[in-house]
Order: sequence, then C-alpha cells, then structure tokens
Amino acid sequence: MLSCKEVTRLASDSLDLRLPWSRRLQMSMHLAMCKYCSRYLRQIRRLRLIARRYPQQLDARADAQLSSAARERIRTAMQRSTD
Amino acid sequence: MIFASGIQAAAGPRDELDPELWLERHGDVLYRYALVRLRSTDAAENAVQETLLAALEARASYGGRASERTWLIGILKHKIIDSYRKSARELPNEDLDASSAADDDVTRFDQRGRWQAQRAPQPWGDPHAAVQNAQLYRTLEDCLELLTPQLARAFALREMDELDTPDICKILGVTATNLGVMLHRARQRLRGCLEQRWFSADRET
Repeated sequence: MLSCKEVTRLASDSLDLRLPWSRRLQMSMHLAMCKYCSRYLRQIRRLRLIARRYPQQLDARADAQLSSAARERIRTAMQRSTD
Repeated sequence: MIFASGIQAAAGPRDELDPELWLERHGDVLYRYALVRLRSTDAAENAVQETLLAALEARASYGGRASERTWLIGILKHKIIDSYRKSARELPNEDLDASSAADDDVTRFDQRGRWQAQRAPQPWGDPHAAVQNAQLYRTLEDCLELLTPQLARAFALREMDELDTPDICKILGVTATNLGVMLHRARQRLRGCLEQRWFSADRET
C-alpha cells in the first residue's frame, strides 16, 4: 500500500507522463480511500489551469511598470530599426 | 457591395498591427510578464525590447488569428526561453536531496508518510469562482517568487508554456528524474502557498 507522501509524488508525475499501469492501479486504489490525496490531485490540476490562464489574464500592475528611461530606450531602438 | 465591404471592415482591425502603439498598449503587460519570469528589471527590459524589435521584423507573418497582445506574448515567451537556456549554468543547482529539504515532505506527513490532519489539503471551494479574479494571478506571482529560480523556471515552462518534459530538461540542463522532483516540489509549494494566501476560508471574496 502506497503512503500519501508517495501518492503525492505520483500525482505530480501523472501530470507530466503516462504512469505504468501498475502504478496507476496503486494510485487509484489509494485515491479511492483517501480524501486528502484526492483533494491534492484535484488541486494541483487546478493549479495547472490557473497557471495556463495566467498570460491571458495579465493587466498592467502598478508596481511592475517599465521605467520612463527604459520606455524611451525601447522607443528609440524601435525607431532606429524601422528607419 | 455594402455587404461585402461590411465584412472587410469587420475583418480589418484584426489583420492590422500598429507598432507605434505597441509600447503604450502592451509595454507594461509584457514587462510584468517578463519580470515574473526573469526576476530582474534589466533582463525584463531587455526581453521587452528584443520582443518588440523581433515583432517589427516579423510583422508580415502576423496572421491576425491571435490578438496583437497574444502574438506579442508568444514572441516574448521565446525570448524568455532563450534567456533561460543561456543562463542555465549560472543558476545554483536545486538541492534535490529529500532529507535536507525543509519541505512539505517533512512537515505535512507523519513518519509513515500519511497526511497530518491539520496540515492536509483543505477544500478550495467553487472551482469556477476564482479564475477570472485578477488578484488570484497576483497571488500566483507572489507565490512563484518564493520558489527558488530553478523551481520557478521548471514550473513555468511546464504549466504556463506547456512544454514537454524532454524539452524542459534540455533548456534547464537537468535530467528527467531531477525535473520530476523539481516539478513535484514546485507544485507542493505553490499549492500550499495558494491555499494559505488565497483559498483559505477566512479570506473575503
């Protein structure tokens, strides 16, 4: 019987590769009986969903903006390359 | 005729790029994204500049399928990956020795590897409620910042860029086994951080 600690590691691996069937079986037997590990797997899947949406959800953040010097530098470089 | 020109007008703006306005419209968003991924103002400014210059050159290949911003962020991603590749050797290697990790593994599980009830995953509530919330993504940024650079890079390449693990191994110069440990650790920590800072029951929504 796998421990919860081992199952959290397998849960992570299952998001990146196809586990051997024996591992999948062991994991699903554990998940059927363990609400914490089931929750853990659901939550790291949700974490994936949040991370994937992140680039589309971006807006300007007041404490992370281009300095006016950098802005000017970039503007000049762009002008130079179109001239 | 009226009908035909109507269609053209509707299709028009999506095919047009407006380089003069890129900096104004997208500069800060590109910068924010670059800063989260590169963790240095200099590197982030450079990446934004390189992105906009590359976009100027590639203007002709913009098909209008993606929005202008999505297209620019796509170019920026490639610049970021290039920069990861170049700096892979400068980063300290992740300490992957499980026993030395002051880690979830040590604090959340008992000696037999079972969850300790008071440190086990808590319910996160309605899965659909939060995904549109800008504050959630700021919290994700804050949690990413708490990871070591190596773990943050591995996580972002896998979960934001959706690269396959063999490609990530090449970019970061790590073995598949080590990447597996790194991704597991990054997910553990980010899950815990989001739970504590965002999903905990006493937060006002």
